[in-house]
Amino acid sequence: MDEALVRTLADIVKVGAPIVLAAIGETITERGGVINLSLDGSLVLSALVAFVIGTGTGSVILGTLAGISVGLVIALIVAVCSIELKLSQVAVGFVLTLLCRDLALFLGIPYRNAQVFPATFLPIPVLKDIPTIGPIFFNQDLFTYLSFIAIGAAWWWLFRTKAGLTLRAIGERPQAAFARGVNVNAMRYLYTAVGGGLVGLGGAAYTLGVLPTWSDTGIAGNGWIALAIVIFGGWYPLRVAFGVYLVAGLRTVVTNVQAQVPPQVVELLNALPWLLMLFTLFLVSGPYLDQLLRILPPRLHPPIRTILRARPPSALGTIFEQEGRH
Amino acid sequence: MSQAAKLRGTLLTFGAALSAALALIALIMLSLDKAPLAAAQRFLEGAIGTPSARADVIMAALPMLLCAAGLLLTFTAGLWNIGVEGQVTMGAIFATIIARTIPRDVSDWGALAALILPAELLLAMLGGALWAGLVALLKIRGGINEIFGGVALNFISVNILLSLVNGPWRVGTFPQTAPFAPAALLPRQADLRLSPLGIAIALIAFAVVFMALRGTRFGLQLRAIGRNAKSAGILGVRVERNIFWALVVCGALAGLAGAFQVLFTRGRLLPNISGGIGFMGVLIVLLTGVRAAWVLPVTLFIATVPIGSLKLATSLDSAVQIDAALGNVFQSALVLAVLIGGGIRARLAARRKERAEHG
Repeated sequence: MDEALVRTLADIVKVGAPIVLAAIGETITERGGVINLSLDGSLVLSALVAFVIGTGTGSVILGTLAGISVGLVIALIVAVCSIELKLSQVAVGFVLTLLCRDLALFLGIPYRNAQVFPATFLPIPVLKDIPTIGPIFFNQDLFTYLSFIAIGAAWWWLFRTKAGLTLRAIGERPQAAFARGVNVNAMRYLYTAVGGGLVGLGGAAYTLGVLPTWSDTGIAGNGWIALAIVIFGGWYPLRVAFGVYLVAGLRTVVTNVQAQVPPQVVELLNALPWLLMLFTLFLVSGPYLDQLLRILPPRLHPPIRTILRARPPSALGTIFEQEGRH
Repeated sequence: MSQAAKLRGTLLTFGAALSAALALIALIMLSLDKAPLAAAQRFLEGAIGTPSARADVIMAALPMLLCAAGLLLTFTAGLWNIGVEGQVTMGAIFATIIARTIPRDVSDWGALAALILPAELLLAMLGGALWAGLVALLKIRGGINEIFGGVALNFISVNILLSLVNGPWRVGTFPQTAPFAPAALLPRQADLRLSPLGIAIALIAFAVVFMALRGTRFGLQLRAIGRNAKSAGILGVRVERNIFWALVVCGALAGLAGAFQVLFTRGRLLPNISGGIGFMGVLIVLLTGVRAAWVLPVTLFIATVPIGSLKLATSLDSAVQIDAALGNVFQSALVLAVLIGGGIRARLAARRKERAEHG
């Protein structure tokens, strides 16, 4: 394959890694029935904390763990407010997004453009030498590999394990799951925390991997992209990953042509990922899919519909009254 | 529960939440070797200590009040109009279309000169309404949740703004327009930075929304939709049409707020023109629990934060000098604390009721 194309594909996979981690995390959370709308702020704050701890201690592992804990704690706040206090998940999530972003902007001032974190670049011997595939998938930094693992693990857990079946059940039919002896709210705590941890990992992937420095502007907005992609992906990890790479691909193309066009055009090109996001959401949830399908032979309708349709978990965003009224 | 007891409970929750948010800010300050008490004193002086400070607070409150008024409509209908930020930005851009063309000297314009400001404000309202109409269409026709439509349109509006101030509208070395001519601006008093006309417009807009929610069919229908859209539809309320108009009116008011930003606050179009006032509007309405009667005092209170924080940021005394971004942290922390406080209060009340019933 063309060398420039291989390099572009490698870039897409790398740029997409943090968004993959965040979107897969949110997929897991929402599969359990909880919306964690704080994603955007979570991502920025965990990125900052990961960077501060990472550069302070000089350890990638400690920095990453710090990022994960931030995402996890924020997710737990959402879970407690929803499960114990019966507050609206949207309200709490939105306010948390603002709070975390503002907190990160303020606390990050002394670290602005401070230093660059030493590379976490980690080529995998032997595998990286496979033509085409090697440079794209195995000549990357640590977090890119973690994003691959997250996609595969989430898919396997959701659709190939008994625990995954339970996870889907608490998001679809919590009453039924409860009747079968599942502690619905405990499970929701667990999966909200796991999802939040992955979001935190995504934050760390920015400041310790992709960027790798502290810059809020490079991160803010991506949490919203990830939230939208979860819908576009129909809550399926593989489709979610595909959506991320689509957006990341568009971004990479924009970045590549940036040098050749005047700044006012660059700004307009930067709007493209958002237009793509609106278009894809329109495609999966709008009423026009069926009309669009009419131009294709009927035999193709069911598979395309399955690929493009997105149905949220039935109990998404609802509160489950576990004890019932005695 | 009696009215008085309810009010006492609300104020108690608010007081507790305020203390929690202030404690967080004090902790952050202490960890940065700042003096919280001295900073608080300086903040209060800077926000309400002098007539000119109080005038600044009132003027800062106006665009927030306009956004909050619009958001009262959408929140009442159960809509999360996060797109309000983009609607503010579009309002600012649309007002600029006229404002940047007004020359310094309009003495030979005659009666036409009196039309400049109304034209700017109307165009700004149109811009905000268009942007909100898009959110509504995406929701009603495209099945896209208003949160995601709004967020995407927020970012797109920022891209359009940056493109304009970096390109065709740019004047000088920075990405911004030239300062607008006095005839294009909202008229202000000579001594204080106060605009009686601006205050009148914002108060009238708020009063209209307040009445609409209290005593009109539109307000009643929005409330029905907010309670339960499906049953409202079954009972004959035209849900989609009402949702559309709630969003469009909110957008028009947000657009007006955007016009205030360019025609008063900044006097020109520049990046980040909204300065987050749309989101502040959301926070204000959340703080009041979507109760219109509380919006006015809460907006004035919230407006002291950016003004006071700015005085801290520009202070020469290093013990209290602190970036204005901390003010934003305080605002969102306060809203989170109020939400949590309200949740705890409701849980305690439910538990008390249960205990009373069982024994």
